[in-house]
Amino acid sequence: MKKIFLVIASTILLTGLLYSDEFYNTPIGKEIVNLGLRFLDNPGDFLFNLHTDNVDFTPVIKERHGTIRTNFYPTIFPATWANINVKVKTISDGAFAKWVPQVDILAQYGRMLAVDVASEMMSKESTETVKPSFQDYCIGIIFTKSVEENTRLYAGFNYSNAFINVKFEKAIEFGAFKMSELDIAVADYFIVTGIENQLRKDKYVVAHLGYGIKQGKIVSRIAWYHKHLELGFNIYPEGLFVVHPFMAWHWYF
Amino acid sequence: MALVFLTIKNSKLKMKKIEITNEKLTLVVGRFSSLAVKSLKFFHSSAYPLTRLPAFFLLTVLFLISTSNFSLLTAFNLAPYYDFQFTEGVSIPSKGGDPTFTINLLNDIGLIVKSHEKHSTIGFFELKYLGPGLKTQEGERFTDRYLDYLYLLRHNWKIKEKLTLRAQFDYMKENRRTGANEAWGYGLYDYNRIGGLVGVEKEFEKFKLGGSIDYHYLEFPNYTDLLKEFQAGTGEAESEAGKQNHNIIQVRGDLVYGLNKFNVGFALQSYTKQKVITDTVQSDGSYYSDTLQKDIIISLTAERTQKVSNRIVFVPSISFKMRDSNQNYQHFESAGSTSPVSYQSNYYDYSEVIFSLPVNFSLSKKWDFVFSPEFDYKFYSDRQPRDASNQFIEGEKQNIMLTLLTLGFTKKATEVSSLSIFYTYQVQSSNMKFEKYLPYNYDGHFIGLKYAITY
Repeated sequence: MKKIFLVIASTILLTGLLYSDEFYNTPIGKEIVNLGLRFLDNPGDFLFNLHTDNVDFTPVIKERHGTIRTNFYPTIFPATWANINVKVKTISDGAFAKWVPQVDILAQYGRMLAVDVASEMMSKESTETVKPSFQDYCIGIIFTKSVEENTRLYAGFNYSNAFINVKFEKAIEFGAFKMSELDIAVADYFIVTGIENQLRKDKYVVAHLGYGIKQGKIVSRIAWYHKHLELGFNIYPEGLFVVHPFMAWHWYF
Repeated sequence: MALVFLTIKNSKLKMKKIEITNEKLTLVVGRFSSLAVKSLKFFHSSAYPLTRLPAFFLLTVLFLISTSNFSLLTAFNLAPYYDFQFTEGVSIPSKGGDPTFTINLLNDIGLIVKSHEKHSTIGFFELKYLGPGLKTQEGERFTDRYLDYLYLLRHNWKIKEKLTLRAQFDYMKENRRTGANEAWGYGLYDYNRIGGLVGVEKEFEKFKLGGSIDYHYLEFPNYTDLLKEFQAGTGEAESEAGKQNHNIIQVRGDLVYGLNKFNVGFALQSYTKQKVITDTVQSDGSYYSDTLQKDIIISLTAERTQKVSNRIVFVPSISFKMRDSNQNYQHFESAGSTSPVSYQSNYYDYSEVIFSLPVNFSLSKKWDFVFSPEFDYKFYSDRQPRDASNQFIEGEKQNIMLTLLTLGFTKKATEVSSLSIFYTYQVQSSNMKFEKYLPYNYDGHFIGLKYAITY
């Protein structure tokens, strides 16, 4: 099980290649140790932020019926966190009457492949009844209204959940910390409000801010959406890494 | 309310009556205060926790939008309002903290409803996060971070062609913490503010005149100071809980004359529990008298928007603020000491002058260059500064001089969004040399990017 943790830690924190004592005495090494300790202080928060990278809480574009999307960086690469996000437009803007907003339903699911592979490798010799797992999902609803030809405002709710369950055969020691088990389930209800502005055909800029009702957590996104590619920043003001640059790919249908 | 208007008017006319006026104001404030406390209790009740309020507000807004063509709302003109601002940068102070990344986020969502040609209402919710970084107010630490929730509802009533009456209700909650490892909602200086205002605005041929009176109650639910309790009295210790709670009643007047704006404000801040400290031990063994703390704040501002050419706009402004408090200060040499070594009367009285000279150069249709110098001089009337070993320096009065120099470029990216890159040099000097907890003499740099998208 320790290998599982090392896979996670090395891929997420990129510290797996840096093990010499001399390195940890350099300013960069000290900063990495500091980040590692902060991660161990509240691992759930960082993992939840990565889960939020997977969620695409933006409306389906005007002319289309839905979107399938996967977040490539920083989840599939380097964290092996496979994910899929599906949005379906159920009601179009002004469908029955002028006042009717566009209504989209959102669902997202992901799991970390490194944990699944490690789980398969150890399952025959282990006596543990609970298999290690690392999954996340989100469901939500988005209301969108055009306010100008190129500008739309949107708002909605989502429920997000990320959970990991890994037990180590031998406790992990990192400085003063000891960890024998990683059993985290972080969930929250988010209220999100945002704006979308069409720059030209197939190019949009979106910005939104979400507030987690249970934890008082703030998440925000500024991104540029192209025909298939999405580039942008997710912002977690109190996170381990405040800004997560992200890269995603989507298909409209 | 008539009493308040009348007494304020009198206090302006006859300075000798200020003492009586304050008492009358306190009476009125006291009545408002009990209402405000009840309102805050309602918001805090388990049946209606504060955490549900954003959802409640959003639901209300969505409801209004989605039902805008039904029944009575059919005739309403609706306009949504949205403002998103994101600032990211690096703060490098010479003292008071390590270099740090600074993030500020602001998100406003609201709705403007014009139900009648004479009536319009705006309601909005603001969520604001201010991260660690250089601060400009005395008493703030560079590691402090703030999370604000503001709910505001304002109604404008155009009584006549050039006469407008406005009324406002607002509620704000501020959470503060000093590190990311602390939980929100447990900060000593977290507060809830509830209140509102009524104001009037009249346009004349050559100028515009406005006035308003507002009342707010501030509650600090987590505030306490065990050290102060320990030091304050050897007999019956005075509890510090609730001592930051206070009422503010403020009267403002505004004048717009051509390119010039003038503002005058008078505020009375009355504490509900904080008593005035004396220089002698009282019968209960503490240094607290029976008199409650009251602060008076007077402010004056003048501003001019001067267009030098088609490309250059100059907005010089000067403001003056004076605080007069009846609170005093007993100085203890160390945390474990229970005998004060020095008594300082009028410790919190000060005057402050702020002078700013922002100038905007329009470089092209999309690009602007801004240069903004600001000078803030604060001087205490009686407070003595302290040396590095925490000893008062006789014969001197504490002063603080803060200078901010900002320059930046702004690009109007689209019709609704803009991007700025800016640099601020901040330098502060003071004769206060005791800087164990807060920096007084330092300089710092802040370089960052700001992205704004507004509809």
